[in-house]
Amino acid sequence: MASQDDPGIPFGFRHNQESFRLLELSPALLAALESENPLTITIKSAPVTSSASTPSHAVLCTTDETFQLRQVHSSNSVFLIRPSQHNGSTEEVYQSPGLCTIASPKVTLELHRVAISSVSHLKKLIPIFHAPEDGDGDSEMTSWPTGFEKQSRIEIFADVPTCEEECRRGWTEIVAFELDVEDLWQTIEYDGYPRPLVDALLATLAPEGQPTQGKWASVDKSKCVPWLGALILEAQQGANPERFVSDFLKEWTDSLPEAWRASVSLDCITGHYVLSGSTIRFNGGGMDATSATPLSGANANKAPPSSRRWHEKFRNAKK
Amino acid sequence: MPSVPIHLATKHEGSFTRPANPLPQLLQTPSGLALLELQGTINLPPVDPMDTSAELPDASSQDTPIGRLVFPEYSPVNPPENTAWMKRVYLYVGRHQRLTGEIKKLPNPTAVIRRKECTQGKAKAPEEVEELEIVEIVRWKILFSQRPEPVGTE
Repeated sequence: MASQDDPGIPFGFRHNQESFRLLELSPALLAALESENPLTITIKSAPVTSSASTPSHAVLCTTDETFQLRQVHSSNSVFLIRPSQHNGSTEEVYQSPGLCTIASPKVTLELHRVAISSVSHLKKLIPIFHAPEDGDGDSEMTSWPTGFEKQSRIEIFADVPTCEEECRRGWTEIVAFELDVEDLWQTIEYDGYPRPLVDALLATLAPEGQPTQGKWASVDKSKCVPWLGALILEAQQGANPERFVSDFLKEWTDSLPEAWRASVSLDCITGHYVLSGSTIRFNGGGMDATSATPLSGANANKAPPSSRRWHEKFRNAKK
Repeated sequence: MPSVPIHLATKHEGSFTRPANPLPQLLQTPSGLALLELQGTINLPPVDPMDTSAELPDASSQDTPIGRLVFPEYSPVNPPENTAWMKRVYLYVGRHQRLTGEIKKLPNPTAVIRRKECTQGKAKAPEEVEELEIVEIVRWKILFSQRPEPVGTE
């Protein structure tokens, strides 16, 4: 018998067993992992809530794909083995290189590609920003929602059990927005503007009743649009006080986030300007944003205010 | 819950010491890890540290011998195209039992994952974000799907 001649490979059991998991990979996932620029994969799950009747499943996410993780138990014993010099035997025949089991994973994780919408998860995590009521034209949140602890988009995405691309898609679908004050500060300090200026501006432009301290802030369109228009007008009054209305409107419009541009109208800065023919100049009055006629409109504040135009606003403010 | 990133372990991971790998070339992996599956369980004698330390010549030896693994048809000089050897593997358990198995290709390549070790020794803050790493991707397994048969000791 061959087995009698062949001493074989000594096989032992390592006392200090390690903990490993086995994860089945799809050929595509494997190729992506082994490529030059390996893919980042993460395991995510929805936060466990005591009220949830359905168990939350862990998912494995690449940038653009979501896989459900399924634990598969095997009735067989599975061992991870690796070469070992120390097989614990005193017999000479066993002193040759051997193998030992170092772990026995009880379950294998299988991946099942799924198409989960992030929308329902996002809706649970993001407060609804209420459109201002028509009538008084004043924009404010009817009540500041409580119970929404996650404040930044990154924190929220971490709690949504889908891949990042699906999070972004859902985010766009429900027209979610975020203004991260920390980001803003970083940009502003980089540009050399003092932080108290930002605090002051946010205090001026935030919707009524909304806290301006903290990680999160929003800017009220009905305050920001007239405030900026009057500011631009005031800023130009030095060297060239008269300018064409069309030029002024263009600068004003260009300084605003795209979604707010439709709100630009001379009507909302009534009292701040004097028209003469096709030119416009600042009337010399005090810059008072709150005295500007606030905009009305049901969809004010629905659009995400983009923070990248802030530079221009502050540049103007410095003049 | 925070998302847990999974990294591919760097190729030159120093955490594994690498004794010579006695497995056939096909089953060897960079980390040395391989999969072995069998029907049933291996019953090991209860580990008594006092008892085994007296038995073992080397105190660092932490392995209990189970038996030996034999690839009767395998020869390293055979060309890799010759896969006949994969049909038969023996695992001798103790002195009286033998399992017969074979080498199987896994339906899907399987990643071996563990918690990422801290680079700064073992000190680990409890609130530290957990990370996982893929230490190996295994494509084959040694499968013993039959019951053990008795063999003589001679």
